[in-house]
Formats: sequence, structure tokens, C-alpha cells
Amino acid sequence: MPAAATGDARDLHAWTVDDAGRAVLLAVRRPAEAEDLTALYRTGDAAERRGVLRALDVVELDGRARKAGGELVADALRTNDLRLVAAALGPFGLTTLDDDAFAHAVLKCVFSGVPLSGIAGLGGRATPLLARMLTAYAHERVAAGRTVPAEIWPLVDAHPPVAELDALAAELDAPDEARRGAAAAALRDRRQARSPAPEDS
Amino acid sequence: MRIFDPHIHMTSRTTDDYERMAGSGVRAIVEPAFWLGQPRTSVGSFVDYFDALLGWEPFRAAQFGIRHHCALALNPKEANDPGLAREVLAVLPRYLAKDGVVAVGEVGHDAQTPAEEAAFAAQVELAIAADLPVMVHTPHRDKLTGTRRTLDLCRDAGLPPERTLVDHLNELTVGVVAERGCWMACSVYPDTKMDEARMVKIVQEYGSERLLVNSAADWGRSDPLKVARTAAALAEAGVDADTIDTLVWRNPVAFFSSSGRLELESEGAPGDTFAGNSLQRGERG
Repeated sequence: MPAAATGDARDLHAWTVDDAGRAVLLAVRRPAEAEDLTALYRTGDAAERRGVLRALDVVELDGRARKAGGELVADALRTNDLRLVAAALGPFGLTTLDDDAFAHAVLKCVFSGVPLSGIAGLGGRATPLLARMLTAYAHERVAAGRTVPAEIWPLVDAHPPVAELDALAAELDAPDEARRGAAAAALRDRRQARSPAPEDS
Repeated sequence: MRIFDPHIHMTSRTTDDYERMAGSGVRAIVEPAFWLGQPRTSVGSFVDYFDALLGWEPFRAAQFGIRHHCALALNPKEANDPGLAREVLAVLPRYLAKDGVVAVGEVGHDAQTPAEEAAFAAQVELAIAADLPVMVHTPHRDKLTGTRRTLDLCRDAGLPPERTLVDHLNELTVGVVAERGCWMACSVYPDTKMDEARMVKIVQEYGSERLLVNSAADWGRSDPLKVARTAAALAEAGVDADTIDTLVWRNPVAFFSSSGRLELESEGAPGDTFAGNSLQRGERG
């Protein structure tokens, strides 16, 4: 019965009852067998795969099982199924992914609307690479006259990329009105993220 | 108006779409091989997919007077499955020899991993060996970096710029491709990648030389009529008919003609092999 434990079935990060049931079954064997994890994931439907990914956060894992789990996380992050993407970014995923793969995973969340707020320990994985990629993404959105998700700014300002931020600020003088407006809105969000007090207006 | 949609995934679309596309002026398309939304687990799935792009889809398209061609490749995302990648690359050469294949594609980057880079480079070599042009997908994430890596990889492999088409470009990436003399394409989507109004501005800034417009319609929110809608937006913005014809017909014809396999004469008028809204399925009703 895939009811979310939090009562909100739309929360991509929330554990569901069936996730918990599967994790309990996997936790019986200690440590978890790498072959079990792989076989259950590969032969599973989307909910069963998510259950395996969630279980990686709570069951005891030896070296082989950790390696197998890392491959499942990588597989889940290649899908476009946001339930799997979110489940792959639990505590296990965060300690397993290298900086490159982690930055791509975060960008994928921003692109596809997986809320960053539900990823525990995200701030501790902030890197200059991630900040640069997010700022380049913000610039692309602004150049298209589109909005930029405000949740990216704390990760950008953990390692502010000078060249990319300059390029973004230059959009304030773009000939195109939509670009100027999008740049102003994005940079206002960035200021507010740094000092949450409301601005004079 | 005559339209050539140089990038559309008809395998994800219905026969009604072919009918509406024909009504909007589409007379030729190229369907590049891509990711189906669900990871494939064996090379057999690719073989069946490639066969469909060379068999069923051209058959379906022909019933509406649309000439269907394809580009074949292992896509960047599935290049990250090493065993699968090896097997798919092994079957590609025999497919690249088929008449309906006018390019190698979509190749390129997704997460810009070493495995993607290796499959990309291997397929550029296959394209050179098969004397085919290459259609390159640029990534959603870190697009500018990915676009530059694409241009460098193609140049270093010895692929001539006139045989390189770099796709899914936006305001920040069109310029870097233009500088290298490669062909440029923009995918016009309902709410991502590029829209009609932005496309008008790009044409006004960069002109029509070596620039293509496609719908890239697939299983996501997309619209197989986007090339026609963009042509209408261009006309409304005062772009002349000759320039629009260059963008939506002559440029894709010029690029894919280098394969020596583009066939644009229609095999008979639409309407004589299908009745009403029904698709001929091998027997006549």
C-alpha cells in the first residue's frame, strides 16, 4: 500500500509504507547481500526499485554491498523517474557519489523539480564545481527570459564562481527586456537568500 | 510551405501526428535514435528499435506523403552502461550501411562522463568510416561546457565542420558553434529548450546560414507542429519567405544530402493507401 508515511504522497523525498516494509525485509540479512540488492532492483518495478534504494540508507552494508548499492544509485540517477532520482539521493547516495556525479544529480533535481530542501546533508556537499554549474544554469534561464529557482543560491554562494556571476550580472544590461527582467529577479532572490530580511521596495 | 523537421522521435508519436504534420506542410523528417525513457537492458532492444526506424516508421510516414529518414547511434545516457554500450557499438556498422540512414546520431554528452566521451568518440569514427554526417545532442546540464567539449571532440577526430550538426542550442551556445563553422540546430519546445519568440530573436541575431529548426518531439511535453509554428512566428516578425524556406527546408536538405542517401521524391500521393483515419496495417480494408 504505497501511502506516504508523512501523509503527503506528492513529497518525493518521503518514505512510503511499502518502502519501509521492503527495507525491513532487506535488513533481516546482516550484512545485506550484494546479490540480493542487485537482483531485487534489476527485477523490480519502480516501487520495488525505490524500496531497495531507500533500504541502502538503513541496512547494514559491507564493502561488496556498498559497491553494488553505488551502481544502483548511478542507475537510478540515469532515469527520469523522479521517485527513483529522489530516493537515490538519500544519505547513502550522498556518501557514495563523487563530486562530478553529485553535481549532475543536483542539477538534475533543479531541472526536473525535485525539491532540494528534502535532501539531507546537501550543504555539506557544496563544491566549486556545483556552484559553477548552477550559476551557468541560472544564466541560461535568464538568457531565455525565464525564472531561476531561488533554492540554488545558498549552494552558489558556498563557493561563488566569479566569471559566471559576472556574466549573469551583465544580463542586467541586455538589450532584450525579458532578459534584463529575469536577471533582476534572479539577483534579487540571491540577495534575499543571503539576508532573509525583507528588502525595502 | 514545405517543411523538413530534422529531429523528431516519431516512434513516440501517433499516426494522427503524422497526419497533422502532413497538414502543416511537413514533407520530410529525420528521426534520430535516442533514449526511450526506460533504460534498455540488452542489445536486442536496440536491434529491434533500429529495425523499426528503418522499417515501420518509414512505412507509416509514407502513407501521409512524408519521407522518413533516420540517424542511428547509441545515445549518451545509455553509453554509461558499459556492457550494453560495447554490444550496441558492435552492431552499429552494419546498420550505418543502410539506405535510410542519413547520419550518425544522437551522440554527445549527458552527464559528461568518460564513458560518454568514449562512446561519442567511437561513433564519430564510425561516421567518418561510413562517410556520414553526425548529429550531436548537447546536454541539459552544464550545456556550455558540454557544447565546447563536443566541438573539440569532433574537431580532434577529424570530422569536418560541414558534417557536424550541434543540436538543442540556446542563446548562450549558438555563438560558440557558429564560430567553428558547424551546423546549428534549435529544438522548439512548449516550455523548455527554446520557444518560437526566442527563435525569432536568434534568427534576427545570427541569420539563417547553417541554422536548423526542429521540434525534437518525443514522449515528453512536446509538439510535432513546432517547426510550422516557428515558421509562422518568423513570418509574423517580418522575416522573408526565402529566409524561412532556407531554415525549414533548404538547410536540412543541404546538411543531410552529404550522406548521399536523402530521397525527397514522394512515392505517390498521400491518401491512396489509407482510408479515413485508419492506418494501413498490411492489409487493405
